[in-house]
Amino acid sequence: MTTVLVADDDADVRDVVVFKLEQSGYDVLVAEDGATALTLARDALPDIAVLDVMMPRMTGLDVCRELRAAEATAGIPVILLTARARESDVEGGFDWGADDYLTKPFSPRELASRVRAVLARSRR
Amino acid sequence: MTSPVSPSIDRDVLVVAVGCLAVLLVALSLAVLAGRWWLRVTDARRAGLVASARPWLVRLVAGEDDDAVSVERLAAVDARTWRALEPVAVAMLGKVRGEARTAVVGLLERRGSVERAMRGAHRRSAVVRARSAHLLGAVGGPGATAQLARLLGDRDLEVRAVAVRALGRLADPSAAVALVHGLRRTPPLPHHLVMTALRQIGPAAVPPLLAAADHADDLVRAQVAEALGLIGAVAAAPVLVAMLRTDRSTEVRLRAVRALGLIGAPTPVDDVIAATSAREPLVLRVTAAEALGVLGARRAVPVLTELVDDPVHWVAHTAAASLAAIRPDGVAALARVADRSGHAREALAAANARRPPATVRP
Repeated sequence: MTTVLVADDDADVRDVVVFKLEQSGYDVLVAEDGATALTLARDALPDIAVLDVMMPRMTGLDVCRELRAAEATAGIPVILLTARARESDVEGGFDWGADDYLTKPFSPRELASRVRAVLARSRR
Repeated sequence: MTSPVSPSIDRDVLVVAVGCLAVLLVALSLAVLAGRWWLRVTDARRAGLVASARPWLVRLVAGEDDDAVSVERLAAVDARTWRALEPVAVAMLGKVRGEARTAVVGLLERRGSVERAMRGAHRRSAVVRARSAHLLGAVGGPGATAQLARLLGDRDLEVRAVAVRALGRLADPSAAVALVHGLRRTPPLPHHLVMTALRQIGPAAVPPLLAAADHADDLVRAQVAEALGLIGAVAAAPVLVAMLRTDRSTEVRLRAVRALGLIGAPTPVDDVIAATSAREPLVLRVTAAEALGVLGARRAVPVLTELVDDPVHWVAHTAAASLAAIRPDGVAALARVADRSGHAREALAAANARRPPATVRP
């Protein structure tokens, strides 16, 4: 089963994303902050990670950078979730190897489509 | 001669006073403890009520095929549960868009929350008016903008601030005039909130801003210039250039030059360069040097390179930082003067540190 790592400190966003992805047939790992997300990613090697940019302890950009820095996790595709007002973060995200991004407010349906598309791309 | 009041009576009065004080302190402590306990109980009760219905809200927002079931479940929850859940539903509106948002708005309308908020905007309690303004800003719909524009003149500062935020969130162009008028109001609306709201409204806010560009009050003209820059109003560049050239207020000229940098139109570069001249006020020179970096103007590289040697530390430092932002010409110019300028070396090092290393991705 395809495993998705979801990391967001906002419980509302997290719960909606997790529910949507589980309904779409994915196995979902959940983290409430960046450091936990990184630990989970290193331990479980998910097929894809959906990371909020602004998180306590470690930002999504930092997690992305750490994932890319280690050989075991460098290939995990990353989708960043960022507030529209901080869209400039995305440039940094792509510099650190993020594969796609979505701005908040986000559409759960669109998020599921992006996860599907990025996974398909990464498996080619 | 003896005192008219004996020492034993003095002692009795003191004992009674201390006793009263002790009783008062105990009563106050008990009241505080009871208040805290009551808050904990109500919070726990509210959390329990939210927990019972929130999963249905999450299902509704996630937009599954059984939306109708979720809506019916949420429409049927009792009034007490809905009162606890409503703020969660309103908060969700700021986090999702598309069908998910439409579904939550539909639910709020069905539960009568929007109608209640329209009525609440007229209530005596400032808390109710502020809460109503927040909900109207999250939901929008017919009449919401007019109601919020009316609240810009509310007697309570907090209500006015919530109304400004709500109008920015709605980004309804028809609110722009009311917000710009708000800059002239006495007492004025919170300036930074109005700027954010106008930016959220975008180009539709430009005509009312231009209409206020020659206002007699220096502060209003300065805020107009700032807002035009935040919006990125390219069409307003000639007005900003005129402000920079001729306005009597340094503050207005400073915000105009900063706005020109943000807008990024190429035509005013010469005016921005002229504002770095040593004849200009220091703060304007620095802001102009900064704006040239934001503009990324290659034409400004020779001037900025000269400014790196300016005797004023602030000017030289800003010029070097701006050169670092103009790639590749500005960075090359920095490298040329790095041996003689500490500012240039510092800016070069910072520019190199910003570059991410190559990833090891396979």
